[in-house]
Amino acid sequence: MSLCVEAPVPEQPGEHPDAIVLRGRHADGYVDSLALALHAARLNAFFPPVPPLLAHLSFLGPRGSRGLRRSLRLAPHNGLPSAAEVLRVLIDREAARHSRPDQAVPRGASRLARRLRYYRALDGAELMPFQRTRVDLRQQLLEEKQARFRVVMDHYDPVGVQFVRYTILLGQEDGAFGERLIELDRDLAEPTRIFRRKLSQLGSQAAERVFAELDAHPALEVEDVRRCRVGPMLLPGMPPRAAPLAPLLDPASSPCPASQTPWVLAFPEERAALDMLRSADADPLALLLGQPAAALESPEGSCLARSCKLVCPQPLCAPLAELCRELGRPCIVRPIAGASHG
Amino acid sequence: MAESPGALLGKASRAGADEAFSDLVHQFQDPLAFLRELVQNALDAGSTLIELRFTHGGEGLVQVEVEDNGEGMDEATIDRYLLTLFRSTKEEDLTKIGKFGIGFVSIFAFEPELAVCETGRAGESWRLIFHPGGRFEKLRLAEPLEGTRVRLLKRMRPEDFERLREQGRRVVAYWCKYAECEIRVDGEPINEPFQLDAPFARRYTEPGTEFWLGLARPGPRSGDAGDPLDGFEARVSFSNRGLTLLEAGRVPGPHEDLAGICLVAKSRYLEHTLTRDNVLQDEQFDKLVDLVRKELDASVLPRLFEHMRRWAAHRSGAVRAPAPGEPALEPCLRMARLPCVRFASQAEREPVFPTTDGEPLSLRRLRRQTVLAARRSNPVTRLLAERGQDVLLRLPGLSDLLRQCAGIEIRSADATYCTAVPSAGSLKPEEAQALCQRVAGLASRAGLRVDGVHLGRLDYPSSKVAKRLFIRQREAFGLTETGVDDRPTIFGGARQLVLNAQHGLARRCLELARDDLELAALLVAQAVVLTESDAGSAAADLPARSFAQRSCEERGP
Repeated sequence: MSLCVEAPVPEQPGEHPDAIVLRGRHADGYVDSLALALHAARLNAFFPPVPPLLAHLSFLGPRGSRGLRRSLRLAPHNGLPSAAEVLRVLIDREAARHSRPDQAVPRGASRLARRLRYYRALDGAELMPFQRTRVDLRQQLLEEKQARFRVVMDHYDPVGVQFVRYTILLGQEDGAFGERLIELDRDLAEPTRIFRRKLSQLGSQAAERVFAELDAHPALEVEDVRRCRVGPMLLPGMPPRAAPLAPLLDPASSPCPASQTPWVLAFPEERAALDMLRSADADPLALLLGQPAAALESPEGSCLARSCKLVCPQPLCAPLAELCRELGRPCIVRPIAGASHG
Repeated sequence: MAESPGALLGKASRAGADEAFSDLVHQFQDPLAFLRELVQNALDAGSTLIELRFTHGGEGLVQVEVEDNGEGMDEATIDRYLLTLFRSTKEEDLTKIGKFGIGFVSIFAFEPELAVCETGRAGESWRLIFHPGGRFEKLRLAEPLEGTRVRLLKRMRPEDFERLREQGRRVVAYWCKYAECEIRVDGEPINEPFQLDAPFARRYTEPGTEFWLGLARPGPRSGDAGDPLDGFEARVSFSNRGLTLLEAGRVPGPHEDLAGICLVAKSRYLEHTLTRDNVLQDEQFDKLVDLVRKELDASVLPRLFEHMRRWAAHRSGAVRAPAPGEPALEPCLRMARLPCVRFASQAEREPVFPTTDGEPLSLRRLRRQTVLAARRSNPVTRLLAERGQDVLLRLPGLSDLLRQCAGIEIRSADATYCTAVPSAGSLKPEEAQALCQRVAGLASRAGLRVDGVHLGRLDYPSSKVAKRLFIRQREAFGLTETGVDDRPTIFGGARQLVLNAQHGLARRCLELARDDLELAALLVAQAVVLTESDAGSAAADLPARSFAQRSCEERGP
C-alpha cells in the first residue's frame, strides 16, 4: 500500500477537520491492506468476528462502493475509516433493502447501474452491526437463586472509531434489590432494554470501568470483563511524530521498500477479572506512541491485564518487535501475507 | 521445578495418586483421543483456528502438534486447572464443552517420550515439559506467545508414522468436522458445512442450539426384515459447538418413535459421557429430543405429506397437476413406512394415494372400501371408476405401506376384473355381425348357453386376458369379474361371449370369413366349445367333442 494523503478537505458536515482523505487506488490499497492485516492477525473469538468485518470493509472506498465514491476518509487519531464511512455502509444497506429487488440492473457503468450493483451486493452481505448483544446462560444455581451468564457485545464505538467486542462473565441474583438486567426463560437468556442501554453507554469504556460499573448494580456480580479492539492503525504522518515508532513509520527511514507504505495495525486487549493472580500491562501501544501508559487500576478484588498484538508489513516486523522488547513490553508481531498493494 | 503425576491430582498421597493417574490415562482406549481433547480445549479457549501437524523428523522422531489461537493460559490457570485433575474452569458452564478437567491427561495415552505445552496470555508465556509417567517441569519464557501449542514427541518407524498421520486425520475429521472454528490437519481444512443432505431437511435454530432434521433416504436393502431401518440411510449426529459427541443410526435411548430421522444437531447444552463414547442422556438431551420431535411434527412431516399430496395429484388420472420434483413418489412411499413418520396416525386425512382415473385418496377413504389397485389407467379401471369404485395407482412400496401402517390389503384390479374393447378386426361391421350370429348359433347347437357373440379386443394395457380367445360377460364390453362371470356357462357364467379379434386363431378365422363365412364360423365355434370343455368339467367334454365331430362330418371332406 502506498498512501497518498491529501490535504484535509472536510467533505462532510460535522467531520473532523483533519480527516485523512485517500483517493482512488490509494483508498482501495488501504482497504486491501486492512483486510490482509485482519487475515494475518489470527484473531480469536474474543475479538470482533473477522468475516463480517471483511465484508464491511469490502464496501468501502471507490472499488467497494462500485465507483459511487471516489475517496475514503480516515479518522485522524487512529487511522481507521471514519465513523461516517463505516456507518454509511449500514445506512446504504437499509436503503438497499428498500430498493426494488426486481429492478433490472442496466448494462454499462451509469451511476444508476453502479448503485444497483452496490445495493444488490449489500443486500445479501453480513456486515458488522452497530451494536449486537448476545447473552448465553452459563450456569443456573437454583439454591442460591443465581444464574451466571456470558454476555458478548459487538459494538461500533463511534468515539474510538473502531469495532470492539466485550466479553463479560457475570452472575445475576434473582430477587435482589433493583431491576433485573437479564431475563431468563428456561435456558434462554435475553438482555433487557435497560441492560442494552447500559452496555451501549459503556461501549467506549475500558474493561476495568465496565467491570466496576456493572458490578455496582445490586443484582449483578461481575467475574470477568474483556475488551478486544481492532485498531488503531498507525500510519505515516499521524501524530505524535516524536514517538519511538516515528522512525519506523517514516517512509524516509522505514525498513519498508520505497514502494511500500509502512503501517502498523494494533489489536489491543484488556481484561479485568477476579481469577487472575496479578495485574500486568504488556501493551506497548501507548509507549510506542510516546504516551504514558495508563495506570493499572483494577476494581476491588480483581486484577487487570493489558496486552496487544501488532500486524505490519514484513520488513517492519523485526524492528517493531525489537522496539517493543526495548520498551519492556514484548508482544506478538505478525507480518501480513504477500505483498502490500500500491 | 519438577513435579510428579501425583501433583496433577492435588494433595492425594503420591502412590495412590500415581495409580489413579494411570487408571485415568488408560480410560482413553483410543491413543489418539488426545487430538479430540485438545481440540475441545482449544474451542473452549475461544480459538478460531486450530492447526494440527504430523511431522517425521530425523532419527525416527515423530512430532504431533496441536496449535490454537485461543486465549492461552496464565500461571494461575496452569496451576489451578491444567495441572489439577478433575478441576476445570468449565465445570457446569454451558458455554464450554469440556467439563471434567481430565482432557489434557489424554496426551499420556499416546505414550509420548516427551510432551511440551507452550502457552501465553496477557504478556506471560510458559512452557511445560511432561516426561513419561506425567512428571513435568514448568518454565517461564521471555518471548511472547499467543494461544496454546502442544507438541508430543515419540519414536516411530516411517510406515507407522504414515498410519498415524492417516488415523489422526480420520479421528479429527470424525470428531471435529462441524467445529465452529477452522481446523487444519497438515495445512488442509477438515471442516464440513453444518448441513444435512436428506429429504425434507429443515434447519431449526434457537440460542445455543441448532439442528438440521430430515428423513432417512431409501437405499439398498441388506435383507434384515426385522429392522425397520433396513434399506434406509438413517444417521444422527450430536455435537457441542460442532465437536461430535455421538454419531449413530438412531437417537440413543427410548426414542423408537424417532427411528428413521436424519439429524445433525449441535447444542451447547449437550455433554459427552465421562468415557467420551456417547452423548450424556440427561435432562438437556431430553429437551433437545423434544425439540426434534416437535420440529418433526411441525415442519418435516407436513412437508413430506405436502410433497406426497402434490405427487399424488400429479399422478392421479383426474387431476394431472404439475410434477413437484425430487424425491419421486415411490421413495416417499418407502419413507412413509419409517417409524418416525407414524403414517397411520399422521396421514389419516391426507390425500396422498394417487388413483388411476379419479382424485387422490386418503387413508380414511381407503378404509371404507375394498382397495383395488392397477399399474395404469385402462378400460377396466375406467369402468370401475364409472361404477364409483376407486382404483389406486399401484406403485412400488404401496402394498407394504398400506399393510404395515393400516392393515389394508390391496387387490389387483386387473386380476379381479377384465373387459373387452369393441373391435371388428379385419372385417367390416356387417361381416363381423354375420360371423358372430353364425358362431352364436353353432355354439348354442353345441349346448353352450350363449345369448350373444361379439368381436372385440382383449389386449388393453395390463390385460390379464390378452391371450385368451374369448371372455364371457354379463353385458358385452362391460366389466367382468374374473372367475365369477367368466366361468363356463354350465357353471353359471355370463352369456355374452366376446371373441378376441387379436387372438391368432380368431385372426385367421376372420381372414377366412371373407371367403367362407360358414367355415370360419364353424372353426371359431369349435374352438370356443373346445375351450369351454377344457375349462369345464369332464361332463361338458363329451357333447362338445361330438359336436365338433358332427360338424366336420356335415361339411364333408
